[in-house]
Amino acid sequence: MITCPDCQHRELDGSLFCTECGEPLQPGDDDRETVTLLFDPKSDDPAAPVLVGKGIGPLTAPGAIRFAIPSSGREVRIPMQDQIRIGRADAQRNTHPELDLTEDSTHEAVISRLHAVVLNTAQGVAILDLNSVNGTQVNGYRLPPHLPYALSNGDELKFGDLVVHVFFEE
Amino acid sequence: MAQARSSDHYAILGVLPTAAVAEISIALNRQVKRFPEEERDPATNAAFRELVVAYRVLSDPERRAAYDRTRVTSTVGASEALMVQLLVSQAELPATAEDQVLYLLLSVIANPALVGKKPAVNLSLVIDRSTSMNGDRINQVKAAASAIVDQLERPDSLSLITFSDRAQAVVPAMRVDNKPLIKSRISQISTGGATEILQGLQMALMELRKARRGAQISHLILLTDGHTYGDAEGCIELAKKAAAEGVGISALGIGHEWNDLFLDALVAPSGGSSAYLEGPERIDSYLAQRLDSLSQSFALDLHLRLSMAPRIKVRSVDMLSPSPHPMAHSGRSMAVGTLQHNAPLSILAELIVQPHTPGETSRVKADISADIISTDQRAQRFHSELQLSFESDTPLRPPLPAIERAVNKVNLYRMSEKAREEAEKGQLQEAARRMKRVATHLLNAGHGQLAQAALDEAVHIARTGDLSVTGRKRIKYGTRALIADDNLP
Repeated sequence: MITCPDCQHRELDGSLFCTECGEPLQPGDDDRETVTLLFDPKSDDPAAPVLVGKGIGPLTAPGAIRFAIPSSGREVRIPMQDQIRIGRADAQRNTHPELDLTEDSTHEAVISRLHAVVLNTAQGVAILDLNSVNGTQVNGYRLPPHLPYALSNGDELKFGDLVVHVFFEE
Repeated sequence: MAQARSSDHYAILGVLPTAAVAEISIALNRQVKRFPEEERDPATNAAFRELVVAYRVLSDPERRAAYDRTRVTSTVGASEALMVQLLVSQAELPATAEDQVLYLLLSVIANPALVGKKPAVNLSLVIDRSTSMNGDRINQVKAAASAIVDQLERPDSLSLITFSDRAQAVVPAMRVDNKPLIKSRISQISTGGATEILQGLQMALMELRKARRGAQISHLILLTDGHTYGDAEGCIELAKKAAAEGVGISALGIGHEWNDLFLDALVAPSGGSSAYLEGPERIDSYLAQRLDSLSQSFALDLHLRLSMAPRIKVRSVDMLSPSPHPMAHSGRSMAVGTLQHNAPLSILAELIVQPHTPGETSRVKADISADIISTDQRAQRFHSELQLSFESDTPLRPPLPAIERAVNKVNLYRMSEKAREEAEKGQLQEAARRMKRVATHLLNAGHGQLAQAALDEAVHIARTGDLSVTGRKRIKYGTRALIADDNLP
């Protein structure tokens, strides 16, 4: 038997909700604790997604990407590589994103540890939201998680409520 | 058509085919957590790979639409008319010495390869013209009925019966060739007298019989605003007879005076739907929608039979969609009504699993019989089953989102019904407290208006010792409607 933590009513094992008070009975699940799935952008695997908004970005990859953060005035230039992870560094969990936004994040919860990733795919540069808590936007469009979206020079990104501009460099 | 462990993308994620994108993300998270971290590699773990592929397809609207078009046909083949799918809250159960609950979610989906042209409808509208319908109500009903005449087309047929103390065939069964004539008859309907539903239903059934030939669907829609006088039992008997003849019944209650339990009982034998409108304003859209759903019928006269291994019992059965309502369950088959080609039928069953020993297995089976319209095949049978296994040490896994959501919403509906029963029994404190809890849950789920209605009722119960006539129906049908709406939390 399970005892409802809220009203002490007894329910059979396996019950999902208390029939007396309606409270959930199973240690559920923190949906905010998200799971990230990275994928290999170069693979021809059917599990790899189709690039959303393809054809907008250039097919030849830039040499580097400059991320400009207006709120702090900070600019970060990162040489183009297979993936540029964006998030908050966390030594305990061994997360070291290439673009660390810890100091730009106004309060802790806005940016997820692994928030998004910029990918160098066969179809151009793309950004993928890693099921972040507060989401990723490209020019005001909120990305569905885990679906790569074509990224172009000058795009405005928003991680939670942090605005970041991207510029492609030679 | 036994389905082994399904490779269906929706089943893999544990969501219904109607799930919104947000739910699909949540489902992915939950399902990923079922794998230990070291097993989360699509390249080496086939099960994990299936999950990733399922998510990739369903989270992309274009790929999802393409998948939906071929899904059923490729799963069951081009000739099998229906797909019956079973999901359980846990397929690997702990082998304990206690009873446990297992939730079973059943979906029935039409095979798009077999969707034919629009079926011919033989419709009978049965309209209450008692004194209480006077004014806005009857005017709106007449306008709505006229709009239905426009919506029907050859070779559909229509009859329209009014009733008060006696019944009258204002429009006897006819093809809808002469629309102006039919409409002018509708415009002459006037109110007066009491509410005696049985005579209206009897006459409608006779008219429906006359126009059966050439029609694939015969259906009766009752619109009323009052209690019927002394002939309720006769009405239920007639509904059973109609169901046996393949005539479906839907019922719409307008205002607060009618008996919801009676209307539920009236539509139950044919697996039809009952609905509630507070005022007369939306009668036209209700009727238009009903006719629309009828025109999208794919299979009729569906019956479901759940068969369980000896130590598994059925505790309750609820239809979730298309018309949410609790279903009377017995070992025999249950009438589940009509399946539309564009909307899945889904049913939630709560099972009690008695003690099993480690290593035992058990089975849950679902059999559906249905008349398929496009192929004109009657009483076709479909089957699906699922194996359960029992282990001494089974990790507790987060429930599938579709099941969790369904159980939560059905539970909320039941709580509101329980509050009402308590109020009727004079257990006012309990009733008020429970209604407040319902309000809290509704508020948390973002249903502010309904939450307010529940809160008002909690106060009303405490003050007057009963629910208000308005609130009672508003909450019952409001919490019911939430069950069918898959886009709401």
